[in-house]
Parts: sequence; structure tokens; C-alpha cells
Amino acid sequence: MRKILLVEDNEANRDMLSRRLAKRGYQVVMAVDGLEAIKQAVEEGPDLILMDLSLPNVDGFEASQRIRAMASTAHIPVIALSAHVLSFNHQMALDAGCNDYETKPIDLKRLILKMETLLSYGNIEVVSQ
Amino acid sequence: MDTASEKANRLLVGLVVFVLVGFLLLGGHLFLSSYQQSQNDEVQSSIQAVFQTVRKAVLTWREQEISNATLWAGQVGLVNITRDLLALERSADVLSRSDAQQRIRNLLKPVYESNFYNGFFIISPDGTSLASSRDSNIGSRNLILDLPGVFETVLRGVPQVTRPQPSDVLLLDTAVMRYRESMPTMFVAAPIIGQENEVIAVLTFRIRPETTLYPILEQGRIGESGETYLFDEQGTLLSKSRFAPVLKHKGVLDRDRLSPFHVKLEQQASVGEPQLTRAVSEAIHGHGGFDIRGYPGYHFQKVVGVWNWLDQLGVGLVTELNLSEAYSNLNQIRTAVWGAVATLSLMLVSLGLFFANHSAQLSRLVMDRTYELEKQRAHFQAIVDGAFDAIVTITDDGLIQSFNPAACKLFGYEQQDVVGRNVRLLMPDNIAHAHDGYITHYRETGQARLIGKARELEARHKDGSLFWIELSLTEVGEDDQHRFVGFIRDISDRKQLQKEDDAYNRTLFEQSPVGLMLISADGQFSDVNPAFARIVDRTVEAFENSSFLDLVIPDHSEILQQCLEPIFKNGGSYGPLEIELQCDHGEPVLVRLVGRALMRQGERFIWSAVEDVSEQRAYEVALTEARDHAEQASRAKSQFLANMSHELRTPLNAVIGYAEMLQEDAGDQGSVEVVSDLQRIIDSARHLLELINEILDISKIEAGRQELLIEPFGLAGLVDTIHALTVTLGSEKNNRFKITLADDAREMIGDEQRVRQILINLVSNAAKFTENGEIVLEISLYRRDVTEWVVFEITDTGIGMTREQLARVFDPFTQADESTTRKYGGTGLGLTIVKQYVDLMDGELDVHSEPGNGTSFTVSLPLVHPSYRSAKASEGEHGDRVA
Repeated sequence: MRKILLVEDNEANRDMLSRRLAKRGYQVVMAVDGLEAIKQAVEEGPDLILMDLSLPNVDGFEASQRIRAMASTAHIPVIALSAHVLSFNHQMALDAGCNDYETKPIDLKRLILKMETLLSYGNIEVVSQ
Repeated sequence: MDTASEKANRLLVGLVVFVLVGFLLLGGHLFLSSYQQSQNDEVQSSIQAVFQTVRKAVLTWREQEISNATLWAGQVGLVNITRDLLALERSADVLSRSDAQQRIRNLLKPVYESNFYNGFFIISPDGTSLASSRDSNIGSRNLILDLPGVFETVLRGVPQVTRPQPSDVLLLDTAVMRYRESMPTMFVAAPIIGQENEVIAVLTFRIRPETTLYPILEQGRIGESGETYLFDEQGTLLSKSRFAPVLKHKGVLDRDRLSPFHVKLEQQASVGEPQLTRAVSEAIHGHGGFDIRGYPGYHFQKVVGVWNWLDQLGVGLVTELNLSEAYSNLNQIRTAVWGAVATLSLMLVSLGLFFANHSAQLSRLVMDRTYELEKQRAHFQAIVDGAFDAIVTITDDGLIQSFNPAACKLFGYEQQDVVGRNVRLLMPDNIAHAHDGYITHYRETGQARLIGKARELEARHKDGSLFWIELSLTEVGEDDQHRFVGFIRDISDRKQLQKEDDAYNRTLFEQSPVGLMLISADGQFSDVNPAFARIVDRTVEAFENSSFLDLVIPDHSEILQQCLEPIFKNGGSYGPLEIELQCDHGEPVLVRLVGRALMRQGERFIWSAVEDVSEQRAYEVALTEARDHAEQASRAKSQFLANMSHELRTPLNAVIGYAEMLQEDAGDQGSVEVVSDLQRIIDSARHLLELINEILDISKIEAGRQELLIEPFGLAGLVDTIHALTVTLGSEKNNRFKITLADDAREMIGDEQRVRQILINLVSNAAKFTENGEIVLEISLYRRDVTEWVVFEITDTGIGMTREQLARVFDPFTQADESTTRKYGGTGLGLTIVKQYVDLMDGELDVHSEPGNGTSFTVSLPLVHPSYRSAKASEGEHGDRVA
């Protein structure tokens, strides 16, 4: 079972998305801010991270950067999720080390498509290492 | 030239000057002393003054002519040539062709060709003309022998001046510039003395009376009818008559005979034999005299007159004035008389001066004399013209010598009150002080600074009151006998007018709403008006002894100096210039200056107009601030919308997410109703999302965040996208779609994403308002001027728009009306975005529509976006440089 780390400060969105992902067979662990996200990434070793960008304490950009900077977590694919739709945010997320970007409201079908792509790509990456 | 004759000349000159200056005083005295006496006495003394002056002038002139001729006759060269001439045969042919003839002409040419002479003779003791300026009268009996006793007298060694006589040759009448017969001519004759002191011949110069004697006589023409003239012992007129036109009119003088010699000075009585006038007949008999009761003149008028015989010239001299004029306008006559007397006296003094300074160079002497006399004549004429003025003569130590009646009237003094007193009496204290300075300066340097200049100054009346005069000074005399003659005119009236003008100008200055100031070259305020004082919050009085530069704030004082310095040096103008002035109280004030240089009493000043522009500047600043503020507010609004969009999307994410989740569950449980209800929630949420997206798009554009991504892209790919869209749209309202792409339209360079959005918005819009119709998209190329355009035309057969709807079609949130929104949906922002994108890409957007007849949108975009072209160009440049 794939382990997904969902980082989301908004309780409703966290609840809604975790439940929908769980229903589709993913194991979902959660974090409510950037600091917790980094901690969980290290401790839980998820297969993929869904990262909201507007977060308290450490924001999504920095959290992604730090996760990407640590050897133990550097390989984990990150998909940024944001209600920000301006293109510069999109670019900033990619610069911070995110692999992809999805805007809210989430189109679940498309998100899962991206997740699956990255999860399989991640496997190849790991194998090649 | 021997020293004896030089001494004689000096003596003569000294004598002449002495006599003249004395005469000036005598004339003035004669006239002035009569001022208070009876009218008769006054008339008599007036005419006497003129007569005596003219007489003296004539005799002085005669002496000078003799002196001149004697000098020439004594010249060694001339004596030698005369001997050669005397040795020749007395035939016209031999004499005129001789070498001596040529030599004598060359020698005397400067004399006989001058303005005062028109010929010469060397006459042998037997009366034959040995030499002459003209060949025609050489070898014959000389004209001078016609005058009884003259030639004999000269042969005895006594020089003579003959009286005017009709000329034997044609002479130029300069009045009409024609040669005439019987022109008046005169001779000065001097003996040529041989080695044994014997008279070997006679030298004569032919004098032109119209440039020498006649002008002197013409100075005796006083008033309207006064004249002074010469006559011979037959009573024939020898000078010009001012009544020639009257005589011609009455038939006494033949119209063609303008020469004076045709006038017989007879009283024109209506009955009886004509007889000479009283003046002429008494003078001929050697009786000098006067008649102030009136006697018949030669020109049909009763006259008063003074007469005498001048033995030296063999002529009679008369000064006459019509009886009527003599007693009608005494004031005028008085002035005229004084003018004549003064002029003649001055003229003679100058003649005397001239002869005192002669050199051994005789020709030079004559030339100089010509020049000097011309100059003096013009000068004296000018004086005569102004003779109605008061005339005061002072000595070089400032004592009043003479004081004419006009001066008495002007200053309120009697003559005896002022003569001999210092001229300071007539001046206010400040001028009197300056005058002492002038006198001292003159004594030390001999320079009279005020000579020849008319100046305006204040004078003091006897009663102590001050009044304005114009003073012209002339210097007369020679060596240490200097006098100053002042001609004074009362200009109080003119000054009064000027004063009124000044007052008017002053009022304008004082009342002007514009600040005005006058500064002197040292930067001191010379004058300021109240408006300027108000600008810097001072009183007008507070400007005294203060400098303009001190008022300027330190930062600006250098700029100002750079502006003003060249103008103080060279004149001109400056400005507009804006500088800040330090007010006495409060903030500096910004002023705009415009000014120019002007001269006042020889000193340069700068006038400036000063305008307080601080308020105006404050408005400008406020305006700029307001604009910046508005721009900032606009940016803030866009930022707000962007944040708003984020905040709205977050709950919307939950709404849609939960709804979809519930719908999945409901679908699993088979509750169909719930599924469709949840679908409504999802649709509404998506509509809301669409709205938020478009609002954000607009806010992005307004915030200036929209950056174009300009790249080449294929138009065919664009067509594919739209085609895919139409498949979905077409089914909804049963519309047919047609897309055409012109063959030559293959690629364009622009922002593909935006172009795509424009077409999607327009096609969706067309589909929204069309049912069972046709929607056509045509893409073609079009060239206008140098630019190639891609033209997208979207035409539908839908409901169309009214003119009013068309006008607002691109405004945000305005669909045709509210009901349209309900019926057709949409945010009302689609076309607004199209419009903004087209503008962003330097394109053009056009729309045509009629209600019920569909709508056509035309979008024209540059085939190559301008920024791409310029970017390529600069790359090219760079490349060239590298290469």
C-alpha cells in the first residue's frame, strides 16, 4: 500500500482529501504545518507528499526545499497543492523542488493520475539507484 | 611773413575781440536799460541794438578780408610771380599762356575756389588785368576801376574792400544753381609791395557776398518785417530785400531781374515824383539818425528805422522795421532783437578767434576758415532759432554779466538785481553746490563739462520757489577772457506732464497684482511694489538698504547670480526662473522671476516681475500624489482580488471535494436523486470557480502581472484546439461549426496561450447565444502598410445585440441584461478578457451586430509581435559585433 503524506492546514480539506484517498486504497499520514511535514517525511518515509503551500510556521515552499535537501527524503516526489493560481507561484513551487503542481479545487481524477505517474517514476528512480 | 604784420594782426584781433565783448554788453545794456522805459524808447533801442551790431559785424568782417588779402599780397612767391607777369607783353594771349599765369593760379587756387571767393586778379598799376582765374578777362581794363577812388587808394598802399556791384562775368547763383548775369560781386584789394617798398601791382580777390556779407545782414532781419540792408549814393539797393516778392507783385521790380541792383530805395507814394526814403537820403548826405515815429519805406509800408553811412565800404546801412509790428508785439521783437545781437556777437568773436590762431600756411588758413565759418554759421543759426529763450551770460568765476528780459521774466529779478552777483542765486542749494564743483573743475582743467549739452535742472525763482528749466551752455571768448552764455527754457509744463505720467506709472506699479522690483548692480533693492512685499511678507519700507541676494535661499543664490551677472554687464533679459525666497516669517516661498535690464541716469538696473508660484506648485505636487495614490490603490485592489481568489478557492475546494465524495457514495448506494442534487452543488461550485478565475485574470492584467510569452506557433494547432471545443459545444444547442484557415496562414509569432484563450472565449460566446445556427471561424492574413496581420473572424447567426448593448459589450460584468445571464449563464467577463488580451498583444478588436441577425467579432493580431522583432534585431546587432 502506497503511503501518502498529506500536508494541509485547513481541517475540512485535510479531512475530505484524506478520506477520498483512503477510499482509493492509499495509506494517508497527515501534517498540519511545514515543520510537522518535515518531521513526518523523515519519520514516516512516505512514498509521495501532497504539499499545501500556504502553511503556518514553515510554508510549503520551504518545507519542500528542506525535504529535498535531506538525503533520507530527497527522493520522495512532492506535488504542490495550492489555491494560488498565479503562474509565478507555480514556478516558485517547482523551484523549491516540487515535482508537480495542482490548483485547488482539486480535480481528483487528474491528481491521482499525476500521483500514480510520479509513484511509478519514483520506483524506477529508486531501482536505478 | 614778417613779425610786424603778425603783431599787427594780433593787435587787430585783440581789439576786435575787446570791441565785440564790450559790444555784447553794450547791446544788452542798451536794450535792457530801455526795458523799463517808454515804449518809444524801447523800440528805438531795439532797432539801435540791431543796427549797431550789424554795422560792427560788417566792419569787422571787412577788416578780416583786408587782413587776409594783405597776408597773401605780402607772400614772397606771389611777389616774384607778379614781377614775372609785369615783365610780359600786355596782350591777353601772351599773358594767359604764360608760365607765370599758371603758377599764380596754382598758388591762389585754394583761396579763389573756396566758398567765400570766386576769383582773383593781379592788376598792373595802369589798371590792366595781368592774371585772373578766368582767361576771358586777362589783358583788359579791370572792373575795379569803375569804382571811383578805390584803385587809386590801393595804389597808395591802403587795402580796400569794394562795395557790392553787378558782376562783369556770369556767376553761379547758388539759390537756383544757375549762372546769371549781374550777380552781386565784391573785391578785396591789397597792394603788392616791391623791394623798394613801392606798390608794383594790386591783388584782388572776388568776394562772394552771399556767403560772407549777406549772411551778416540777414541776421538783422528781426521779427516779421525787420531788415538791415546796404545801398549806394544813388539810393540803389546793394543787398537782398526780404520784400522782393512784394515789389515784384506791385510791379516795382521786374520779375526776371532778381538782382538787388534793380531796386531803387524810393518811398512808394501814390502821387507825385518818387523820392528816396528818409533813411536813404539822409544817410547819403552823411547824416546818421533814426526815426521811430514812422516814415514811408520802399515797400509800401510805414517803417521805423536807424541809418548811417559807412565810409569804409562806401555804402549806406539801414535797419528798418514796419511801424505796425514795432508797436504791436513788443515781447516778440524784444526776443528777436536779443537773438540777433547775441548771434552776431558770437559770430564775430569766433572770427576773431580764428584769426588769432592763424598759421604761416596761408592756404591752410583759408581752408580752415572755410570749415570754421561753415560750422559756426550752423551753430549760430541754431542759436537764433532758440532766441526766444532766456539768455544769461556769466564769467568764468560764476558772476552774472548779462541777464536778458526773458530771463528777468523767468526768474522774477530785475536786471540790476542780479548782474555782478554769483549765478548760484538762481539755483537751489544742491545744484549750487555742484555748480561750484564745475567752476573749480573748469578752472583747474579748462574743461567745461556742461558745454553743448542741454540738461534739465531745477532753478530758483526770486520768490524762492523752484521750477524746472532746460539749460544749454555755450562758451565764448579766448585766452583768459572766457564767458559762458546760457540759454534757458522754462519746462515746468513739460515737467508737470511728466510728473502726471510718473504718477500714473507709479499707480500702476503700486497697484499691480504682480510683484515688481528694481535692483541695482550691487544687488540692492532700489524699488519694490506692495505686491512683491506681500509675497515675502515684509513692508515696503523694510526693503531699504537690503540686498536681493540676501532674500534668496542659499541653495539658489548661485543660480540667480549666474542669471543676473551677464545682464548687468551686457543688458538683455532673463527668466522665467524659479527660485525660493526666504520670508521674514515662515516657510520659503517659491517665485517665478522674469526681468530685463534698463538704464536709469547712466546706471544699469534690473527690473523683475515676481510671481508667487508656491500655491501652483503645491497643486502640482498634490496632483502627482493623487495619481500615485490612485495607482497604488489600483495595485492594492488587484492584490486584494488575488488574495480573495485564494481565500475563496480554499473552501470551494472542500465544497466540491465533499460533494464529489458524497456523490460517489450516493452512486454506490444507488440513490439517484441525491446524485443529481449533489451534481447541482458541484455545478454551482464550478460556476463560482469559473467566476473567481476570470476575476483573477482581470486583476492580474490590471496589476500588470500579465507577461506575454512570445514564440512562433502553428495556426493549424490552434485550429485543432478550437475544433475539439466545438465538438462539445456543438451538441449543446445544435449548432454547426465551420473553421477555415487560409493557405498562406501557417505560423504566427505571439503568445499562443492568449490567442487560444481569445478564440475559446469568442467561440464559446458565439455558441452561447446561438441556437440551431451556424458559427464560422475564418483565419486569414492581411497586410496593411508595413505590418502583416492575422485576422480571426468569428461570425454567428445568433440573437445579436442592440446598439446600446454593443456599446457596453466589453465592459466587465455586463451581459446584455440580467435575464440573459439567467438564460445563458456565464460570468460576463469573457469578452472583457478578450478585449484586454487583444490590447496586450497590440491587436485590434472589432464587433458588428444587429438584433436577430447575429454577431461578428474580428480580431486582428500582428503576425509577428513587435517585441519579438525588436528582440531579434538586438540579437542580430550583438551577433554582428561578435563577428
